[in-house]
Amino acid sequence: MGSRLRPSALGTYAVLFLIFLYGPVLLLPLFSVNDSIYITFPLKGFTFNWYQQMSQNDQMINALKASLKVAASVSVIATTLGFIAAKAVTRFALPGRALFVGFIMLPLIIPSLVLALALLVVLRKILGFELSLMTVAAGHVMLCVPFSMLILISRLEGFDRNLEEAAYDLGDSALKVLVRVTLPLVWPAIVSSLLLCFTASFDEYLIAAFLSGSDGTLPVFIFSQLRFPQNLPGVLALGSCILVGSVILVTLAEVVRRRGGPVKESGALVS
Amino acid sequence: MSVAKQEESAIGSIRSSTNSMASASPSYSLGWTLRRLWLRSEAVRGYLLLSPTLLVMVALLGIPLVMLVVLSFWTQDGIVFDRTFTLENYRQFFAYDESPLYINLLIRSVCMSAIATTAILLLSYPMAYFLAFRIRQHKLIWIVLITVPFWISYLLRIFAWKVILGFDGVINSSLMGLGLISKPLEFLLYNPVAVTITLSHAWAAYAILPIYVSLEKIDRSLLEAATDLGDSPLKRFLRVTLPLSMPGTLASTLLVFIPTVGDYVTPALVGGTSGMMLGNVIQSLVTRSDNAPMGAAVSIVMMLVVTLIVCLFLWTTGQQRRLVRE
Amino acid sequence: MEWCHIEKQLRQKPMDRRSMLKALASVGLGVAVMSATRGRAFAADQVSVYTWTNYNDPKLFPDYVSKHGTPNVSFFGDTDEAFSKLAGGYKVDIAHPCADDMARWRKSGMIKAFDDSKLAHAKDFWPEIQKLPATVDEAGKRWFVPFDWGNTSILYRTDKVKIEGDPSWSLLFTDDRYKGQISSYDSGPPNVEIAAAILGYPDIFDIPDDQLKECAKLLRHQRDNIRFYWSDQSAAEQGLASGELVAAYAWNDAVARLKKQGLPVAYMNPKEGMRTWVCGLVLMKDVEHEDLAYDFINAFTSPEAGKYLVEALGTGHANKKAFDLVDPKVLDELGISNPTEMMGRTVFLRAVPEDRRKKYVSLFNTIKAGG
Repeated sequence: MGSRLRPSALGTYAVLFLIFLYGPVLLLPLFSVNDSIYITFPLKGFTFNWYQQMSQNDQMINALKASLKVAASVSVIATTLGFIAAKAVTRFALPGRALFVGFIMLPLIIPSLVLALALLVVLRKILGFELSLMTVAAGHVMLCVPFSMLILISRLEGFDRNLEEAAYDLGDSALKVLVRVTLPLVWPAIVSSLLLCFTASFDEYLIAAFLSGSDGTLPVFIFSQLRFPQNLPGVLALGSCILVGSVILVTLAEVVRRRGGPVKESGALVS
Repeated sequence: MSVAKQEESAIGSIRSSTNSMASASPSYSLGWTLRRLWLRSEAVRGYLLLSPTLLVMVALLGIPLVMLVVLSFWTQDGIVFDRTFTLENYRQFFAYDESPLYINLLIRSVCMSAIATTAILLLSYPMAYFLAFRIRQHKLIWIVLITVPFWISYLLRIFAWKVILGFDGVINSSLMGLGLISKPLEFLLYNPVAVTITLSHAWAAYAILPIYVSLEKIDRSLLEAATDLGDSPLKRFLRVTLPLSMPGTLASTLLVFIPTVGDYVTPALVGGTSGMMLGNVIQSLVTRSDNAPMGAAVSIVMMLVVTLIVCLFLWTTGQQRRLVRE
Repeated sequence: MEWCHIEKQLRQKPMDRRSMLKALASVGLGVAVMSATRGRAFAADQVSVYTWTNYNDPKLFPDYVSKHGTPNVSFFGDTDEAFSKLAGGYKVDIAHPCADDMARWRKSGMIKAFDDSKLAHAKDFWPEIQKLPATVDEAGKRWFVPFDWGNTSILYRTDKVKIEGDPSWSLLFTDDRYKGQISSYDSGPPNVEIAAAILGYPDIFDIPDDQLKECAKLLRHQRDNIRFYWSDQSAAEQGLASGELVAAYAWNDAVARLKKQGLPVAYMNPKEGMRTWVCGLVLMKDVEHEDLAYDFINAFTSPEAGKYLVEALGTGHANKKAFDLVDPKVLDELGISNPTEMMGRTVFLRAVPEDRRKKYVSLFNTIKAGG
């Protein structure tokens, strides 16, 4: 199975690409234990001060928690909405479909700042809502639905409907078909969409800045810190913890999952 | 947009399959009639399914969008809007002799974004290919690994790039250590090259994942068939893999190109004095000059231009795909 | 054996997906509910303050904390963003703009004047910053309570820059020796004003069009000479620390920081004068907790808070009594050991008439874009 198109060349490329991807990011843990507030070479000496500074910074920890909450809910909500829309668009012949898809894509085109301000005015001056993490999440959902929908459309396009139809013929309910047939088939797209939406929301600044109330998200916190460079290393320490923490979490999850079934088929969850 | 148009043929096949299914049903009860009506009304079912997403988007986006359009025909004094209708903002945008700022920046932004998008796609496609065809185990881990770097604040990643590309940076230090250069290379940072590199890094995940998703979907037996027919690997790639991965590749192109046109953080941070983009002007107009109406007008022109480019792009790729298919 | 495995697997795989989905959905729902309930339950009887993250430190308002507990603090990245968000309808009791922006803030109608009798420390503020333009109205009412202040000048590497003749701001504009190694602040008004000062114009805060044209020439020269415009002080300091920059527009708190890292730097005292900025607190018109707001402001401007501000953040404090509490060595390092003498020499940043300010901004944008 699979192609035999110069495997070594492609493998080498993948390694190089990972170096490109991780090279800059791996510098951050290095500088997070460097005894200097500036991110420059040469290194000055080893210290754990910045981690101590980080653990004592309640504001930053709260901002991190806020970001995690928002990003987790946004990724689930946006992916659900994106899935429904992608399914509708690829499954049925909809008159005026291009128009609707175009409309849903709009948040990508409107400059975030303008969108954020417009949303703020609507929420505050027209609807009179209080700003909170909910409003940030709403803004992010809007931003992420296009991502999710596009990814899922590209997976669902040319989707073999006979499988679904067969399941219906066998008397399965719509929900059962969804869970047993459709979702497993689009699983890679769902995972990709969840991850991209999480990422997009977790690192979004402008909408978060304008739609957050007294509990700001991590990017809002970090931007506000830039005026005071002495606090930057604490942010670096946090970034390193996020990096290491997420790698450990993913590895653990995979180990746990592999315990559950034969090793050989562990790739099947995604493919 | 016309991403959707491209599966007209697929829809045709569903229609025939649903019809045949309905007629093959065994009983003629009331339930069956209802079910048949239900299956017939494709559009109704489609809209019903689309409605939750559409409602959410209309609720969130509708008023802001109308506001944006209306605002672009007003003027502002302090924080008060003068609501007399005027085309002045648009005139200012297109008055090239008076101030070439807007048109120049629009062209620069589109070009910069197009170059970066091309670079990102070229870099990301092989990686997505690798993920889809070479990785058999732990795919989930690989996919997460691709996105983990992006969970670190963008600002920190930019700092890291400055450390790598900078004057005393990793590249310059190692080149100097090796004795290859005697003076630090200054062209690495604060120019469009740096912007392209940084953007490629920042948007990699957004390009890789959609391409991967559509490559993953390709039926492996098609590839084997092509090999059996005597296609060389390259020919097989061009005839089978690439066309079949087009939906994902188009999705990546849009996901990367559209938002980067309006991006201004990256150019401002690593682009140096030549890094100004249209997004910077919008920001300045709205937050500094108290001229939100002009900001709205600039945004709208930018949105229209981007939409036009995207439509043209989709139309040409659609034409090509049709040609390939025939 | 084999059979067992396959069977287990068959049974398990869909289960896995299903349970994973369920788990995901419940996490999402839980989070949504949690954040919904939290938003409502937020302490409503606290003053809300809109400022930079660093000022959210209980040691900067100890009297308030001991009396009322923790205030509701939200953050902004810069004051322009803050202004836009407030104008968009964001509601707080107190915000933290700078004096040179006050014309805009007052014109917006979003803020109201203070009642001087409720300001406990007003009489102890440095006299130089008591009546800055646009912070006090014709009737003598105070619209702005100064809180922090500091200087702006050129920070340069003594090992790389040779000052010839009188030190001057022109180092950041027309000194071609350091082409590609200098940086200035990414904001129109400061650069335009400094250009006007170099040209010796009488009123740099209200420059007529013909003089503005001359300034533009200097700004173009600057654009061609600088490596980048910095939008956050971190970038400028990073550049100076790495050697990428030899001189940059910088706030005075940077001096002590860079010196502490062992870097050979000096802060220029240009012949056109250092620039002094003052930031402070304003009371929003629809303030909800007015009494608490005054308590907060009084705590913020107390000598104890001032001592902490100077020592921890390296900026000056409005209350002159604070300076008696600080170790003179620390003040010396920051270059603010004798504020009265210093303020006599420096140029106070102040509000530019609105139509002029917009012209400065648009001129700067045009030049930055290559015009």
